[in-house]
Amino acid sequence: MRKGWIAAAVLGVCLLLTGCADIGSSAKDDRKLMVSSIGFDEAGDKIKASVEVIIINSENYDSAAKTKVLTGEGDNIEQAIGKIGSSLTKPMLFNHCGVIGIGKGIGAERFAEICAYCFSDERITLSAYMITADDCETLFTGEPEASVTVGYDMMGIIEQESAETGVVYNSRYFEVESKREEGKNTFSLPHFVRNSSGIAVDGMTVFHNDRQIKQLNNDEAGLYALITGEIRKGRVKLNAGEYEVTDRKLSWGKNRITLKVKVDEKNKTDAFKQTLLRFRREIEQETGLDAFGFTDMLNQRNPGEKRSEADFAEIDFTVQCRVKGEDEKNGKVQSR
Amino acid sequence: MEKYSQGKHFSALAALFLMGDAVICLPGNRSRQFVLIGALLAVLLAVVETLAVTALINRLMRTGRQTMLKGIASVSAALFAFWCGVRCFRQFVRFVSDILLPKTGKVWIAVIFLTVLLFLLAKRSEVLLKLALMLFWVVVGVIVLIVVLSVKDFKIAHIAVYRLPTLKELGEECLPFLPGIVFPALLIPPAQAVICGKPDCRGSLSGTFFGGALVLACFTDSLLLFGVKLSERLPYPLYSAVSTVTVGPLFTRMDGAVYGILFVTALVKCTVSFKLSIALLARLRREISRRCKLAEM
Repeated sequence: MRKGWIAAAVLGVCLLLTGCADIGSSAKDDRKLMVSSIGFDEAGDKIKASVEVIIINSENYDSAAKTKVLTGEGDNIEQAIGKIGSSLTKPMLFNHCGVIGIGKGIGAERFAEICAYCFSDERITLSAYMITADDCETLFTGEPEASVTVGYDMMGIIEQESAETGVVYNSRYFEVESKREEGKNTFSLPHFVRNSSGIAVDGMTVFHNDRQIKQLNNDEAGLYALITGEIRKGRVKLNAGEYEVTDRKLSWGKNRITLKVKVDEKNKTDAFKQTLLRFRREIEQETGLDAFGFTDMLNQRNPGEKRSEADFAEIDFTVQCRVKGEDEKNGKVQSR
Repeated sequence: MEKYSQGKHFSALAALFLMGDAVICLPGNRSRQFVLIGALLAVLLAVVETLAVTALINRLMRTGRQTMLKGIASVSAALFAFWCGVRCFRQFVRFVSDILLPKTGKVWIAVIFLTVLLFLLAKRSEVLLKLALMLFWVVVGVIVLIVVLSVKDFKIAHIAVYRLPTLKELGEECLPFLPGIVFPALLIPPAQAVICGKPDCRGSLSGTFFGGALVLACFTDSLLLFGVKLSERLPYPLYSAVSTVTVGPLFTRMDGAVYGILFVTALVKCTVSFKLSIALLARLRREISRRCKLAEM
């Protein structure tokens, strides 16, 4: 009797929670098209979404999986993806999406819209890599080389490129979103191109306030990463091995940032120093913006003195280049 | 029962109880720059109040007769324990409904959880204590694994502070942890009194300490990965943190680890809360019946 009352009470509490949802639909989840990459390009006033899906022949599992790129346009992302979905016989599964592509024409508002969409759609994993491309649809189209899909190929290429060049792209969606949430104005994403030999990383795209402001080639990307700190510890080769950097530290003053690097060869110290200083001047003059995020760096370390981004040109950036094995002569070093 | 009252069994149970639903929900949506310091302060508060409540219960138990104070304390603890249990249960159902089984009705999720809960409530306390000890080590192992695999993506700058907080800021940072860590810790000594026969500092303190440490580990993992602002936006930071764990370019999909942790900690918290509530109300009812009989005589 007592157990009966308990069972009745349990059922009563459960029924109060909500009405019964359709429990049968979960059985259909195993029949979805898996999306490996999703890209967004500007199409006039509309946004074009491109998805790379994996198609498995459910009647013959021995045959290799194929990929297909589907596109849809709409006034917003939901419409664009909805148009793709409405042309398919099965729903799309975004849980294994590895790459989120941003086309060349995507402006600041659209980029914010893309980030908000990816955050609100819990199916898109936070670990997906964000990349840029001239055109995402063109990039995704083609035969994958090392894995099942072009998207998964890109993930492998990013890791490999990072291991070879020492540049840490920090371009996973949660890393980008974390920077935007912390109020950082500047970040960068790896830039992919499709050429005759397939897809490859061709430098990086610098963003400022969600707007693409500058595309850097591979050599420039290395210098940029060295200045901003997005570089691995240990020996790093820059400019196709022309400079081999063994140590990197930043120190800060009230209006000053000093980059201290050590290179392998003594006769390269002056040339490298001039290269870095010239690089900084050229990028800031060309973009007219704080492309390296110096204002963010100083504001983080001096939270009581919020400096304006408009004064970025007044920030004194100096480079001290030494040969490996030379001792520090003056001052304390704060490492980054 | 003596060997369970002071040993590692209750300590493990207390640790899992304190983790409860806090492990999946913190840091919550009012976090700011000094949130980690606020969390540390909350754990410290929890440890101190465990000591204080243990001393109070020991004093109340020394007076043999039932006083008004004992009665009020019992009713308050029973109601509060019930509220903690319901809150944890609702949070668990919400998480499973949002993340694990979005197309499944909440009623079915609740049925499964409540069935297991009732099964545990019907068992003797020794069963609960033994289970807690086994599951505690599993939970510790999984959390350590998650942290170790996430280390490569940690950014120390996310938790770096460049000035000390004011008292007001510290208080504000501590507030989100009150319902999750500080207040539930009040129930650990009375739970020990009910489950083990008498409260003991060693078991309660070590359990509170380890539970707080594990919650801090999970919470700090999220902060180091996402930073304060993004962690604040995420409804389930630990679940999101685990989804970022990769080996090279490959996703590991360790989400199952989080489901397991939450199931264990939520189950233990609900079991202990309802067990405590039922036991206290039963004692009160017996005392009231006894007094009514005495009054009739």
